[in-house]
Amino acid sequence: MRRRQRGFTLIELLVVIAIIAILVALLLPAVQQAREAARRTQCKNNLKQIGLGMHNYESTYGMLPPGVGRFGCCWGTWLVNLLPYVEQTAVFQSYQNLGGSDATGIRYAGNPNNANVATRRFPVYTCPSDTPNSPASNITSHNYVVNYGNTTFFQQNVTVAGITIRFQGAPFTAYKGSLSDDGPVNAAQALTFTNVYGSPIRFRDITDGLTSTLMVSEVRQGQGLDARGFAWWGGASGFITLYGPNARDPDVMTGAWCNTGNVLNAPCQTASAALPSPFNRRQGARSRHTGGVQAALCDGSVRFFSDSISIQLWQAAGTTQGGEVMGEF
Amino acid sequence: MPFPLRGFVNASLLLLVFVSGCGPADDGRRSVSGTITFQGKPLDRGNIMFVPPDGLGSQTGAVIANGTYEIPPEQGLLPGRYKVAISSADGDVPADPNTPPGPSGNFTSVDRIPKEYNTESKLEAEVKDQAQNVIDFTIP
Repeated sequence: MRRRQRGFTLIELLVVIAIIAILVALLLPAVQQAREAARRTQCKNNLKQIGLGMHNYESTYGMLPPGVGRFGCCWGTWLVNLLPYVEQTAVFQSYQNLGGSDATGIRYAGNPNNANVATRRFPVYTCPSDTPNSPASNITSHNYVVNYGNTTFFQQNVTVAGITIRFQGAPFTAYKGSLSDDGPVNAAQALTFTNVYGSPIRFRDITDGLTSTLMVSEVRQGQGLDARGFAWWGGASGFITLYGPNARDPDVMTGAWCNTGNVLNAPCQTASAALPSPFNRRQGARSRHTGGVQAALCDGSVRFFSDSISIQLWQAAGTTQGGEVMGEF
Repeated sequence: MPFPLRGFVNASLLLLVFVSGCGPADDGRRSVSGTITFQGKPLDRGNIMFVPPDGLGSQTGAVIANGTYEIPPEQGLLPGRYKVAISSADGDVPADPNTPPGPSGNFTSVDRIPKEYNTESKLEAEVKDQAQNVIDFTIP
């Protein structure tokens, strides 16, 4: 009886090796992608935590936290108000003069207490896909900002080429009803929150519906002397939907807090110019993820918004009282 | 001689073809770029915005650096007519790393470009259905 010889030929062996090589070559570059996907997921989870924190804040006070304090830029933004709702109660209790003014105490960077808070880096406010930055006095920038509506931080109608873009409500109040950010137009109005800085928004004011209004978005930390993401300060605490995610339109940071020299930085403009008029201070939604940004809606759900989203849809998602008929995101 | 791995090899090759066949979808947006001349010289910095006259369609903008602007197709414009506004602030102050940003007073700086070219602009541009639109502007 003849015994059959079993085994692989050389050709078969080479083919197997070649196929394994191809598979490895496919897989190895994907490892970096997988790591970025994991970072993006963590980034998304932070948005979810912030969204839940906002809802818990709303349950406690019956309103969302103010975007900036009632006297403006520098005595604590929503970032501070939300600390107890992202399990940072002890840090929150050490913060002084929240929502105050220079007449009542120190600013966000004031020594020692507030500087101790504002120089900390909070993981829940930091997207791991981005590079951390501290533009001034070791005070940290972070990656999440709240929705200030569809025009600018001054939350009023703006004009471009004779066309008026109407401000149609936002879930957070910034420099509304003001002409500068030194302080509110009228101190008495400030004390009663009458249509000025930081007047609180209730869920019932969001008539477009919580599911179709943006609440919190990602932003890229400006590298170097750049205030983008510097949300302890009112001038970088929010985002607007005048232009789309990761747009080529420049952000406008006042006080020259723009570093256009770094290639990692998104387009920026140092001094305020006339587009759109009358008052221009703005920061758009931006991320380091490929192709779009992640953002939490007012109902607490977190979505990915493509860079090429229709501008009408994006602006409609930015307003609380636009009455738009919304399509699918 | 039988070649037991042939099926596997064929499947792998087929897989490769599928994996490499993916590219970005064309959503109709068109790239726009060009040069801006102001008082006979390239405009060193500023920004440009394209807005649809009826509020419908796409809207986009870009920074102007050294007399040029560029908008890639992902953030580009759908073909059609647009109103155009161009703006350029007159100057800035360097930031101080030892002074955190604070209230900056009434910061609205003067625009070098007359308002006939930005807030009340009559400039218009047509974006055509072609891959690359070059649209130049001259401001006296």
